[in-house]
Amino acid sequence: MAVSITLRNIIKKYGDSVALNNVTMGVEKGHIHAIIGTTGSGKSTLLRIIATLSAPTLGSGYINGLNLAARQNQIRHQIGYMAQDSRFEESLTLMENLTLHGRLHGIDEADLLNRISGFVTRFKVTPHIHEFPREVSFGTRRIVEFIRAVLHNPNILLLDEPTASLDQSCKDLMETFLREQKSRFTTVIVSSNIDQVEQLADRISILDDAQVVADGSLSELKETDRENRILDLTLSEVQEQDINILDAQQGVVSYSVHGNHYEIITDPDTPPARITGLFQDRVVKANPRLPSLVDIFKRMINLEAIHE
Amino acid sequence: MNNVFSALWFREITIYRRQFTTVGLLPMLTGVIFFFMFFLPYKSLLSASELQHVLPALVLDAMLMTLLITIYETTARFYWEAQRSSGMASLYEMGRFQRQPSFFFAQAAIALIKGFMHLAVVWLILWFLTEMSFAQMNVQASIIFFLLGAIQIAALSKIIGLFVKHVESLSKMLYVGLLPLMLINGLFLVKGSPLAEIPAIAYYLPPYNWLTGLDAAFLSGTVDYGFLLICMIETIFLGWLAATFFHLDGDQ
Repeated sequence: MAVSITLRNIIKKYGDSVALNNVTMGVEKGHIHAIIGTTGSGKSTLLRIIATLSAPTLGSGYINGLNLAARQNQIRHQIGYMAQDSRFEESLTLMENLTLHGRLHGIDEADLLNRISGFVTRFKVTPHIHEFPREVSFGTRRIVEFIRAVLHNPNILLLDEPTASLDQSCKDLMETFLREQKSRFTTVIVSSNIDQVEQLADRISILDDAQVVADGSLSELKETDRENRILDLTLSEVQEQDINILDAQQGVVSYSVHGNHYEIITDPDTPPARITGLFQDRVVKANPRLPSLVDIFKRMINLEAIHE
Repeated sequence: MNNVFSALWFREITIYRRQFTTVGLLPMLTGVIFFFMFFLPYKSLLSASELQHVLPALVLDAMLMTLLITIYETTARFYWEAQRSSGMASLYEMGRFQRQPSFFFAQAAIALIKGFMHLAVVWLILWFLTEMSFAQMNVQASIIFFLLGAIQIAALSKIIGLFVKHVESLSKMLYVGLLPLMLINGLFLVKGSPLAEIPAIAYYLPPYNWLTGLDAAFLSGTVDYGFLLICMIETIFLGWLAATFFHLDGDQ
């Protein structure tokens, strides 16, 4: 499949501080590529570099074959960008903001009105469209920003935390649109919502401390963690000797306790039944599973890892 | 270019209608108020024939004041917002960035159209109030000076809008910087009237050639080609300077 976005050895420095350190990644055409990472890991900086809003200190990049450093104006017309913070021309209504954006991109009047009307209806913001940005809810602002990002038919969509702090209905609207229109856009999404990333993304890059520490499809990332299995165990009551039992048990890599719930990491050769058998009739629920993206994320960024 | 002009024009007209008192009425009113601040004392002190002699200069200065404030407010505020206000910045960054010549010229064209529209309204008001005839103004001779001066103001306003950090500083720059520069060069004041040294100082200030050339053209219909040439060179220089600050990098 054709590659839309290629970044090679991108380094971004602000004075002495390194925001991105040797980042290399590629995004295939029509794919949704998610970037996840801790606060300050460089996710938004990376997105701004792809959007040509920030120049890398070192390294090179290509968007649809156009050099990031040399063809910024051409690239910008192919990009729909939604920043992390809500941004509007506050003197204009939402409708006027969309019209201004459409005109800047040279969409003719009739087509522009049709497009706006279609999006506004689809995203259920019709009642607010003639209000000023300061008069509407945060969710409405974000939805309209999303409409603005896709209004000029870009083929690259860059979304920085598009659904953060939004209610479920707004999230659903955006996610459904992204799924339905997936083939139209090459999407890079920065998100802290791991569930959303798991559901939407074809490929995921995990950023930590300015570097890509993992990159791949969800199944590929899970594959990297294939040596482990997780057993979610809910007990009717927790006893003091449970810890000693688990510590003494072969095949238990680590575990964590949350109330009467145990998350036990085992090696792949340890059958779940052997662990549940240790607690006998106290077992209320046992759920053996592969590591989730959250587990992988935690392990990759060396947070409170699954290997405690 | 057409897209950008159409978009910026749409924005300007929408905001103009919505904030007419601030961005429409006030710049025009300032010119008219300044006119009467000087006209009324002159009227009580001078004879009718002397007043007829002074009147065209006062009308010219009122129009210039309006032109200055309109173009400055339109341009400097626009670039301040495009640079500093996150809302505008993101929108223009992702559409047509201000580094593109189309953006640069479209905004200047809008500021000039607005400035000359206000200038015409102020002239109409003053014509109605003073009955000063159109023939007294030597419009044909002065139009090139008006245009060059307006471009100079627009270029300076772009630079100021680009570098001023706080929106309040925009007004300070106008009232502490640009306006005194023009007053020293004879806007509403006779050069050298407050201090004999003023003409010597004025000679080295940017608006000298423009305002002196315009005075001669407007009041007596004489185009001084020396002033015109220098004024053209200054305009080109200021335009180049503004374009340099913007790092114009070409439309695609």
